[in-house]
Amino acid sequence: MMIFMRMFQKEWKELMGTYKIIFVPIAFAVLMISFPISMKLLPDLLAREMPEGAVIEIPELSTSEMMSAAFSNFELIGVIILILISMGSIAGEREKGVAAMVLVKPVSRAVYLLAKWSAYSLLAVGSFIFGMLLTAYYTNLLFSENLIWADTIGGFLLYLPIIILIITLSICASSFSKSAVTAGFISLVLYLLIMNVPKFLQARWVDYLPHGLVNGANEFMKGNIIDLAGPLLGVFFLIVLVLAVGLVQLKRQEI
Amino acid sequence: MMIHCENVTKKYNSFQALNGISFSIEGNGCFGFLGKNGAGKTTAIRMLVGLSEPTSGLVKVNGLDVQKEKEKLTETMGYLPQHPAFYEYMTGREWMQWVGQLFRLEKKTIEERAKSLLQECGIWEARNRKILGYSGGMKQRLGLAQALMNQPKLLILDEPVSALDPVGRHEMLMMIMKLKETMMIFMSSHILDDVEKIADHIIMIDKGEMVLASDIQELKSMYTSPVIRFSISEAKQVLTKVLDEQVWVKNIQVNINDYILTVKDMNIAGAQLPKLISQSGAMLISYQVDTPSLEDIFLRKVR
Repeated sequence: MMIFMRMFQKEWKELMGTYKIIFVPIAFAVLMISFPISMKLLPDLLAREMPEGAVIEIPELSTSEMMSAAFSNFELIGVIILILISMGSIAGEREKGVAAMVLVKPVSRAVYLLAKWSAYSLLAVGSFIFGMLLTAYYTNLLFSENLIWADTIGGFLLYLPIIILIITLSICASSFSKSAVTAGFISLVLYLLIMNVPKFLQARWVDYLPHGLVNGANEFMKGNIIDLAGPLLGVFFLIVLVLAVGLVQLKRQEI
Repeated sequence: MMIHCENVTKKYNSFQALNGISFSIEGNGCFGFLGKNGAGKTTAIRMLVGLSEPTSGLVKVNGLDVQKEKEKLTETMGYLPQHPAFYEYMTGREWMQWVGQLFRLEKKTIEERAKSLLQECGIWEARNRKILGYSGGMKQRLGLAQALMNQPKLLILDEPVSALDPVGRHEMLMMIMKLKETMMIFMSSHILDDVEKIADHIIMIDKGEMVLASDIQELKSMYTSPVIRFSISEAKQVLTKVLDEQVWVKNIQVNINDYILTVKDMNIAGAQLPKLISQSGAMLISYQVDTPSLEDIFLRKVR
């Protein structure tokens, strides 16, 4: 445990030293907040460009729907940011030779991987919460101020396991290859497969897959309660499975 | 401390990097690990420190299987790779402190050891600079300092002087000379002069196969050619004639006062020759038995 803490502290220090701890929350906030701001400015921008007398009706979105849309805005680019920041965590260190310097000390490969996974998961979760809270605050301020905070917070808390799953995929893919780019590509493809293939399947077990959680989180924000036990269980199972595969792979790897 | 390798092989796809390496070494001292580029030295070293697994065979350090009990072994092992790499946002001192923490050393011990090792390795002045700004030589020095942080019983060095200037090289060799009194040092190097100066034992591999493993003095005597070169003060026909009659002399080459004598038995020659020179009335100016350098032996074995 003590070695894990030393490794975790080192990872955290590295996230601070490389300014990821500042840039990632800012990037997430910009990504999410851009939707409500552009929605607020859209009628004025359109009015300027339209010929005089023309009328365009934009359906008014509720603050909850606005939040849900901001959240969707995050989905693909946010995932890419998460993969970009973490894909080199193990692959890069193996390529440079630092992993060899560390793993000849009393640090097991499991501790090495789990310390990285914990630090990056914490950064990702923290950044997501920061971005979402900021977006919720501004959406509420810019529009009707009738945001139901409980639904909003509940919605994005439901999305946190997905954030951790993305980090898990990226870190574990990083233990397969010495190239950070390859690791990033593998994790992105895996994520897209996990999220999109089940949409075309009819089997009952599909209900336990993570894509249901993304939809569920969206619905929760709009105030619709649906049973998410299955997808939640599925995401946790996937996280554990991917971590286990990553650990086994790293133990077998030439460093 | 003991290293035992038994029939170790390593295959990367179709390339056979190691092909049945076996050796067993024990005790303190410096063990030079020699071989041409691509001979498999680094592959073997990486197996010794647990970074790579053999395809077949057994690698044991101090009686423990490296693959199964790697973490226990790391407590008593220090390793300096050929190109040491660090978290470059750290300073030299921070790296040392962090390594000390990984070995669960007390804060006071960490500070004391870090100071003395950084001083001994000649980078104390640069301790508060980020490693990013270190030269290759400075990184090698820091690499050695951190490998000694846990006061290892086995120090494994992969080309430790390759990035150092002549002064740095000399200092590093002096340090290894001192360290080998208290620990086993397993060192690979291309610079055979250096190995000859500090190693007590030699292990040589070529194309992934064992060539020899021997004590360096035994090795030299094994490869000593039976040739004696000597010079005398003035030409003496009588000496040449007497030497020609000796049964232990195989061949004589004379160039005025300089003799090159090929002998059948070095022990008899060593006892008889000074007497004969003295009896001839000549004065001995120089006397040298042809001893091969490590480089001569290396070239003879791997060519």
